[in-house]
Amino acid sequence: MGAFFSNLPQYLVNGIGSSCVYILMAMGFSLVYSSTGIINFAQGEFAAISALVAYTLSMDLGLPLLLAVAGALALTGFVGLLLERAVIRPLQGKGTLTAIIATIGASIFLKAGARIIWPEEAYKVPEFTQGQLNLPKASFNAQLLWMLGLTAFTVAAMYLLMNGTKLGKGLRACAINPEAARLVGIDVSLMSMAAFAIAALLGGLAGLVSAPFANYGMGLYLGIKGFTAAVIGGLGDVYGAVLGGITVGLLEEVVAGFLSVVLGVSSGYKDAVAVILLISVLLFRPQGLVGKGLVEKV
Amino acid sequence: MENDVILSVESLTKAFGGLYALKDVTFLVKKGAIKAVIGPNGAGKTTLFDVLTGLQPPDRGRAVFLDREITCMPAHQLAGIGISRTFQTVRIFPGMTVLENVMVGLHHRTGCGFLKAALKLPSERKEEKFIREEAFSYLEMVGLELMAHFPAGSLPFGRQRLLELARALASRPKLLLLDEPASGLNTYETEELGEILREIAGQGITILLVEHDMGLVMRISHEVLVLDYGEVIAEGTPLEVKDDPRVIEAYLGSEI
Amino acid sequence: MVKRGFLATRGIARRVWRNYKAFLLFSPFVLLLPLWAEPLGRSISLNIVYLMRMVGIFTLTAVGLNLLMGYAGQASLGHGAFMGIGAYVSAILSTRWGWPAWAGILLGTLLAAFVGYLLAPILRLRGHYLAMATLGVGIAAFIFFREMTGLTGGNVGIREIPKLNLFGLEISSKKAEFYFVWLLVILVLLLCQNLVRSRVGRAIRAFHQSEVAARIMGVDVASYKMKVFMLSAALGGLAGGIYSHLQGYINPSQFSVMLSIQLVVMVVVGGMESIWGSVAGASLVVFLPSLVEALPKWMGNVPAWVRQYSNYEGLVFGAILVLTMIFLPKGITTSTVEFYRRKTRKAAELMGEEEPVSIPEEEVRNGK
Repeated sequence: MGAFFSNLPQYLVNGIGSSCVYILMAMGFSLVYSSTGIINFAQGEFAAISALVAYTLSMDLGLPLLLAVAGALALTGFVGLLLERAVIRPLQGKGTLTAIIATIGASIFLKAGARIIWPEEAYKVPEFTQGQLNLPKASFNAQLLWMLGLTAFTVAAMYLLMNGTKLGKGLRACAINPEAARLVGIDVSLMSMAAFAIAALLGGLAGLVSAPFANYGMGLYLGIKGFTAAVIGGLGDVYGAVLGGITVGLLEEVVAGFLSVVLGVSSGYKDAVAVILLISVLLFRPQGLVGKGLVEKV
Repeated sequence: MENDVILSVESLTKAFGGLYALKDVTFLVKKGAIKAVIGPNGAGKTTLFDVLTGLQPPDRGRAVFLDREITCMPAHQLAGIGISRTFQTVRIFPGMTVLENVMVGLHHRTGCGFLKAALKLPSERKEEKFIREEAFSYLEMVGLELMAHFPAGSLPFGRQRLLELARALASRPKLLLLDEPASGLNTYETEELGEILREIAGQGITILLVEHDMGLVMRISHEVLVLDYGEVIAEGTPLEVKDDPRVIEAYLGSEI
Repeated sequence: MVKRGFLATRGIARRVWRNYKAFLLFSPFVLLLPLWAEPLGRSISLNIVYLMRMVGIFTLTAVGLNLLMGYAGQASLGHGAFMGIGAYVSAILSTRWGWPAWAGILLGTLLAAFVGYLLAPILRLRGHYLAMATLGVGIAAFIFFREMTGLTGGNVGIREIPKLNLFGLEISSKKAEFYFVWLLVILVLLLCQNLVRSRVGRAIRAFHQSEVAARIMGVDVASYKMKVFMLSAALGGLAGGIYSHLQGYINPSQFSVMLSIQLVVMVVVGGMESIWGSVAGASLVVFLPSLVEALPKWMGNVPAWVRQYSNYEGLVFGAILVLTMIFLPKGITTSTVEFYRRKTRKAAELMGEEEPVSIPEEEVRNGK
């Protein structure tokens, strides 16, 4: 028990790092769900693709980091657009199960494509800044500061986008009532494209900051944990995503630490923590921890 | 309780976020009667039906059906005690055949479970035969027997309403709640519906009816209850209600 | 007297034909497959028998999943978990404690059903939420198979699982296994078809199409959902148990999320709400790798990654799923049947016949 408490600061620092990733993923899920009513099961693949592309651009092609990151995000955003046009659009109004299965198909397709191009088990994605910083009872990579900064910046940008721009108003209108939005002259189809593109960028960013290692399969767990965060936040606004991301990130690290240090359970159970959290939240508070949230109707 | 009362509703109240859909609604339904519930849009008529059939819990008040409190009874138990209903927006099973739809109506009158069904035991076959024949007779009653094997979703709208009615009847209810059965029907179909409803009432089935078509209401109902903003504003025979100043005001008010 | 007996027999024969047409047509074809395949050459026919055992195993699971997803409309993206439970229970019991295979399989089946019972509360969820929750169940099961090393052998898995053994009768040759699996499959398909064409089946399809209306008609939806879920979990457990004995070894990666997705592919592509669609779907998923791998051999010089199907299995499955959803949302079998029906109906209209009227009343009353 003593060992657990002396490690606690380290768990929390690690947890803050994962929180950033989950916040970004959760914002992607929430944005797409609230403006199109679809949970995009391929959201995690955006993260994998962006991280792997960044690897190729900077390591194989030797581009400067900033360019590599910009290129990776641009390509991921394009994949998001493509997904919306090729898969989501043709299935408009064909029911939930159809949309679920189609986005799962897209997810498998993207994952397999990534595996052909990047077959190795792990690629070292460049860090923005090298080096390690030390706190009294914990240490962390300088990368963490970048993660915090980028996430804070993105959260602020998303908030302004949703509340201060015409695009944001359109997206929120679609969330409330697509039929009415169409009547007042909002291009619902364009909004759906925008939602997917922005969600792809958010996912891509999550993949970039979740470095140092990336592989084709990383999307599954990032996706399911990001979704857990989104559900905890009520699948609605930016605040919810932040709250959900922090909850999942911290709980995961602390519970996994508790399990392995105090109970002596293998650290391989770490991923199960988030999954069990997901199932419990869905069962006991499907509307999320904050606000009214959206509960699917009959 | 008096013997000829089948349903007694006592100060039923239901609010949605501060807005009353039902407020202290109290009334009785007599056995064998056709009672209509009318009122402007948003008066709480469908909410009344949803609360009575266990789809929504009331905030306050209770409903008693034949000496049994039904207020918080789960919806699927109501068929067993003799209550069935139709819906304002038709809720048939569109992917099943017309006959199968009515066969589902006989669900609670039969009892064959997973094991018997999978093994197709003789008792199951006998029960299936009963279900099929019984369902067919209800189809004949509403005149849909020739369409028995069509997908229910392919029926024209008016026929779908009749199918829903046949399905509800197949559960052999004592009390039948009909939510705007004539909406979307043409004049001829409404006429036909009126005949069928009278026939149903003639068999001793009590009908509680939400309806906008005043002609139909005046023709067939014995009693009328008027709701406005969730409150009962008038109750009586069709003639009494028609001349009630509050009713006229409610209707005129809603039209402006 | 003789004539009446004859008529009665004819009546029964007609009824059996009408109700079990697909079985009478397909079962001989499948069961005689080892003979059909003989002329294709020894290695091909052996290969077909070998793969058909797998088709049978997957059909058992897929038909259960079809009851849940196709008929009852409840998505499960974690059904591989139940195959895993069945497989591990039977493998552990037979390798550690020397249980006979049939007993291990039976216990695995029951345990899978019991886990289904414990998980039943998630069936309160709808749509995307249910899909995500079941995906979570699949992932959690995979993690447990991998991490409970004392019981499951971790990533190494369990080896040298004994062959099937039915009350002292050894089932060891591929052909014997084939017959055992397919006799069981046909029996299960028969039971499932009876089930979906009964009061129970109607209730299940009813709440899929309108839950509110089904409840008003007296269908206890929550209880039916739970029972269907348990049944489909049990079928998964049964299939998994047999699988472990046919395969001889198991490890967690065989029961990963990919298995669950493959099962969904079988149901969705084969045909929702179709018992034989599950067979079509399972055949597709099992035979596709061999067919795709055979292609480059004919084409000659191709990049290295094309030679190994497992490299791009996901590309093929992903594309199939998306394209099926867009073009044949009800799956191959159901869409074909509907296309055929529409065509015959159109033909009937052209000939000036009104279909419903031409059916004699006795036929109308008695059924399909």
